[in-house]
Amino acid sequence: MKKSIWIAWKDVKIRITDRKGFMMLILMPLILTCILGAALGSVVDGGSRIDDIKVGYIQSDQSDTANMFTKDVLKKMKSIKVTKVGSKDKMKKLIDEKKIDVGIVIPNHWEAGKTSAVVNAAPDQTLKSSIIETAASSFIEQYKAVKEAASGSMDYISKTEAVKQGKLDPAQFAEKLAKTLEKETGDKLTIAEKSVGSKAVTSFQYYSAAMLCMFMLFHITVGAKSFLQEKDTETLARMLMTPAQKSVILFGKWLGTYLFAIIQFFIFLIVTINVFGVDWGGNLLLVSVLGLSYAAAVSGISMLLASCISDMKTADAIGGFGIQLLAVLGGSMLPLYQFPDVLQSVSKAVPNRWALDGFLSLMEGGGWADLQKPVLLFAAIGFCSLVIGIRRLHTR
Amino acid sequence: MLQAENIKKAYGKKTIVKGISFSLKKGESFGLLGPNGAGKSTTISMISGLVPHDSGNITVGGYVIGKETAKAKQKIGIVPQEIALYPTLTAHENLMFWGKMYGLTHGEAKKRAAEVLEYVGLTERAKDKIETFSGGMKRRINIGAALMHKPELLIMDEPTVGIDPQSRNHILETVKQLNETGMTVIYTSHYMEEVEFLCDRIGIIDQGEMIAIGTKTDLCSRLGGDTIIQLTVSGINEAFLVAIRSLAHVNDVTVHELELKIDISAAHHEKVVTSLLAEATAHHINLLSLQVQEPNLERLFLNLTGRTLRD
Repeated sequence: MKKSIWIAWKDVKIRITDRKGFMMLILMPLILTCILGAALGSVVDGGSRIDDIKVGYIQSDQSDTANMFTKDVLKKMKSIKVTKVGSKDKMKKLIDEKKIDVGIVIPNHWEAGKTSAVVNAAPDQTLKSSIIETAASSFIEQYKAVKEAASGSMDYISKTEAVKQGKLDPAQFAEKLAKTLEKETGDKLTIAEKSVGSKAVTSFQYYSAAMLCMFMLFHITVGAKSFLQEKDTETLARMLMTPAQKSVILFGKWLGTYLFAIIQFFIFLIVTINVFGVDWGGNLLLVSVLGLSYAAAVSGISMLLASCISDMKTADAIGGFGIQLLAVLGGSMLPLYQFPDVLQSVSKAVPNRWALDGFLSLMEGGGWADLQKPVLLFAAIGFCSLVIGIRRLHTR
Repeated sequence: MLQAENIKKAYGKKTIVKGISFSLKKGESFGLLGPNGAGKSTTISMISGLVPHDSGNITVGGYVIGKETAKAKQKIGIVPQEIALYPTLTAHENLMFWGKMYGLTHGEAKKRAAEVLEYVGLTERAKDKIETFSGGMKRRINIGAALMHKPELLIMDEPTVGIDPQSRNHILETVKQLNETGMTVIYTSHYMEEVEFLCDRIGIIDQGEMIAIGTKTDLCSRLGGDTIIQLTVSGINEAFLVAIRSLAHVNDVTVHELELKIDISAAHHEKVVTSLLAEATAHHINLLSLQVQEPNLERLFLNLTGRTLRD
């Protein structure tokens, strides 16, 4: 174990004294946080709270369903103030004058599914418009599903022997079904407002977490490259000629990457708190637990990567392309809510997305309950990839 | 100190080491001589426990490689062919690290690093990064790293490759001194003069086999002890050849007509040279050059394999 610590300490020393690496992993995320936080403030700050969305609507479809959406769904949402607008021109004027944030037009035959609602908003209100658009489409999809279920049930019931023999009154059944569906759909056809915490996230907060998650990913290639470098320069062979066991050496290499990731994490945390005034959510212990577990995962993956590749060029390619791809998918470049549904689903497969979600939850006032999943996931990823990586490297 | 019995190593279908055997007494210096790719480094890697041997037995300091490898490794200090150091760490930091890898405590490593730096003559550069060192200085620290834990057996794999003559001499002197203090040394090289200077016994490896082993005198005696006198002449005439063949102490004469060269194998070259010059004058032979080659390992290798060591 002592020898593993010496190897790790040596690696940390090498990385700290490497100016290029230090710039890349310590200064760059801070600089990018500063730039992105300031430049993209409107994207995040403008949409981080939904308690002040002013919605203007034009309702051409006078069906019960459309009424239900405007009166029961939109108006009952605490975060939305609804205004009826007379015409599309008036709606455009209200949007231009910033009297409303979003305008929604519910056209004729919306209930029948023949037309779609149209949402209008100023370019800086993309989040708010996407919320209203999602609310409208979710509502109508739910409605259609319930309607088809009820219709299908009635068709089936009408053909049963019980109805033919007069034992079951279809009218009574329909009434009961309607009541049941009304009770059930009353909940489902509203937009649930679920908040993790009580606080809003600013752009500086978002990009602090996003940049941290992205730049910690670089330890995957930094760790793998460190291993390959030791191989190329024969220092690995020299270490293997010492009495230290292979597993001790490999664990030391993992530990070096882990320690440096932790150092990066804490430097970033301290600077963003003290220089940018970023609020990481009050409970720094939980922030640290998430950071430490994420660091364990990335350093574990670095060992796995080292066991899969044999040259620096591949490591550089992964560092250049792979990490950027993970960063984009994980929401480090653009806020996740701006992604289409497919990409949102794909992003759930990347570890930095889980880390980012965790940090944002804490910033929003969340607690340990919100962290359990990502922390356990990272611990599992870290452990499994370390074990597999060490086994593969041991054999090689 | 070391016994290697019939050790073999193959990578896939290619056999690199084909049953090498040799042993070393404590305090002995042993040279492994052979051209590049002969199997020297693989042999060393097997002795140092880096590469497992396919068959045969290796014992270092009484410990069997493969069974008690960690204990055996503790007795070995290895100087790899490459500069296996961390260029962005200082000389002192490098030595400390390698010392600790051999189980030295922080205090022990610190004390020993100072001694080793003194020994390799780089105390004043202790706090400089390795990347700022010349090739020769890097080689000296490379050796120093292997000395940190005071090994009983020092294995050096071509430690003078690519360095200036001054550093080379310093390294050779250092190794000589280490051997004189009782350290057993295995020195591999394809420079026969280094091996001749340092080693009590020499093993010559070619194509994975030990083709000759013994002291320098033993090995050279296989050449019959003759010196080769090589003449380059402007023209060859038969009368001159008859005359030199009949000279006392001349055992053989080989003529290379195309190159206008004559190789004369003689027992006492100092006596033969004077007579040769007299015969050349008498037969109006214009001598362009005269070279005297005493029996050496290079010639032995050529004799045994038909190739030179640096082929």
